[in-house]
Amino acid sequence: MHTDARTLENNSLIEGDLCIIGAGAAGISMALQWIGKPQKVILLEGGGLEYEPAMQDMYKGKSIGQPYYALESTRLHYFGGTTGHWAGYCSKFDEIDFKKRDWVPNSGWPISLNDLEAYYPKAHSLLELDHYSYDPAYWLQQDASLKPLEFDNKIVWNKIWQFSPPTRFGNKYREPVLNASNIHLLTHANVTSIHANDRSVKEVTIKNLAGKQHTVRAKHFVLACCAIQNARLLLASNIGNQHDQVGRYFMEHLEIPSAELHLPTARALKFYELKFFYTKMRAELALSEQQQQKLQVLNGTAALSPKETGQEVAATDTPAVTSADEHLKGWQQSEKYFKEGQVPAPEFKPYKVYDLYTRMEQSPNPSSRITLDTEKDALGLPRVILNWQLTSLEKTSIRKLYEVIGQQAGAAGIGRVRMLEWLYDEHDASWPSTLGGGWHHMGTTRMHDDPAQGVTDRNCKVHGIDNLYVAGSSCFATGGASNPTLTLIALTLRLSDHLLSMARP
Amino acid sequence: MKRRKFILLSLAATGAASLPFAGCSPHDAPEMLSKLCDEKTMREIGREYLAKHPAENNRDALKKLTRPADIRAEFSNGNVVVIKGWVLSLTEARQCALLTL
Repeated sequence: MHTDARTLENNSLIEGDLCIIGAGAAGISMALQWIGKPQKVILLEGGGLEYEPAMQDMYKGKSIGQPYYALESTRLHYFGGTTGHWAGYCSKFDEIDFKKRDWVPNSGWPISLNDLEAYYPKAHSLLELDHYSYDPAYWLQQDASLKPLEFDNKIVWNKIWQFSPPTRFGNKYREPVLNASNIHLLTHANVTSIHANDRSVKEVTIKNLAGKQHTVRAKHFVLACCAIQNARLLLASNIGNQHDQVGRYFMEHLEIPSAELHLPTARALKFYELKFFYTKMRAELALSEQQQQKLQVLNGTAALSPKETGQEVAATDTPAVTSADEHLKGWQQSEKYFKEGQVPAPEFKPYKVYDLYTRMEQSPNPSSRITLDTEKDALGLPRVILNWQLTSLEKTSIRKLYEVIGQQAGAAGIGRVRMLEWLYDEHDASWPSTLGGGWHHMGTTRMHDDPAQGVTDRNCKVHGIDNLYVAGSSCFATGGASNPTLTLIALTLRLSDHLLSMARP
Repeated sequence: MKRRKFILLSLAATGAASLPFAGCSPHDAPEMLSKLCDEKTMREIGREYLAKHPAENNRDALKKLTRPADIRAEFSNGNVVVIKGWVLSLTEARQCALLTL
């Protein structure tokens, strides 16, 4: 069922059992699990069914600290959320990502990879991915033309990515959500305040640009608006922040051209190359857990692309970049061309030089944070200020990644690695202008058993509030080497199961 | 400098009349670097290496240091240096240094 909240009589009251705030990857994934259940689910989406500039404007904010993209470019404010312009990269987190690492301050989750294993296959399916396997051996068996580089896998291993079409949740899952009799989607339903007494949320206020204001009540509430917006709403309502943790530990993936791999003879590296829309799987080079521990570095990978194409470089914009609208249109145009058969089938040619492009997690840093601005949006909600902060461990980790890959390339007779100039000086902690991010916002309501060190507990429940939960990557305690979408959906499905178990009589 | 001259210089540095890198995989003779970059780059690497290791700024001393070496084993054993971004075996870097002397 769908209602545009602008059409409701002012000051309407909407009631249900579960209220999911946000209809992006997390919100829609959760809602799909409740279809056909006896409970009434209210799914609130601040935007409409399609992109609207006025709604997108509400995601504007300021950025201080490390230069970053315009905040309204990195997320989408309509049904389907940021899946509207994501690139489809999917990979599982690694075991080490969940562990306490004594060389990574504030690392460690209260759950392990094993706690998500049961949910990854379903998340995989929602993202329309290929066979559920992230074992390189499986993929190498499927296609004899895939040849891995001859690294010692105990030191440098092939971490597997799979590629969603990319699934646009707003299109793919619109019909099942709208047709579900027990799911009530309200669009133009922006939550502007969460009202709680000591231990529970009673209701939320929703507003829209038509000037309407309504109240939503439910037994349980789930914030699923993305990391920046989840923190924004908690801060604006002064909820869950008794220990000043909300908004802290904002994490991104550092994505940056970093080095080159030079080969003595040209080689086609199909196993590592990405051809958008055609590639279903590819490998990136990663350091083993033992190496990360030995070198005291963060988790990250090196992706390869032929020097001639520079495709990886083009795939991520530098901070001074496109609007959400332009980015969205770019993807829509590209997908249209592909469907019309205008994107030629890829050839995997041999090259002598490959660009090496890093995706590196950042060390959880309480000073890297979202706070509220005094400026407000059109609905009166304070805008956000992002203060993206990094530590020296990020750059050290990147340099060591390429030292090891270079060392191993030499040992195996593969070739030689040349780092780019910004990595020459191991004592230089500065960052070049080419440093970008993946638009992977994580950590602002991080999970921790101790309320003084996190916002949510191991079941994604906000500490101190009995019926408020958070879904998505804002609960991540660390960022891992992997793009967050697959894991945030797995974590959301786990939360959904937890709520379902509480809802059963 | 042509690649052939670089190889000959390396041979001369070892003082060996026969192939100096016995025991190496033929794919990993020091000539690897000459397949990847030009003479100018190798000289720049050499100069940078000597700037960081001024005690080796002596042709005779370097000749002794660039005796026959298993380059791949150097990488395996961690005998590597990073010069102008290139992750090289110590011997490779020294061979580049010899080019400048």
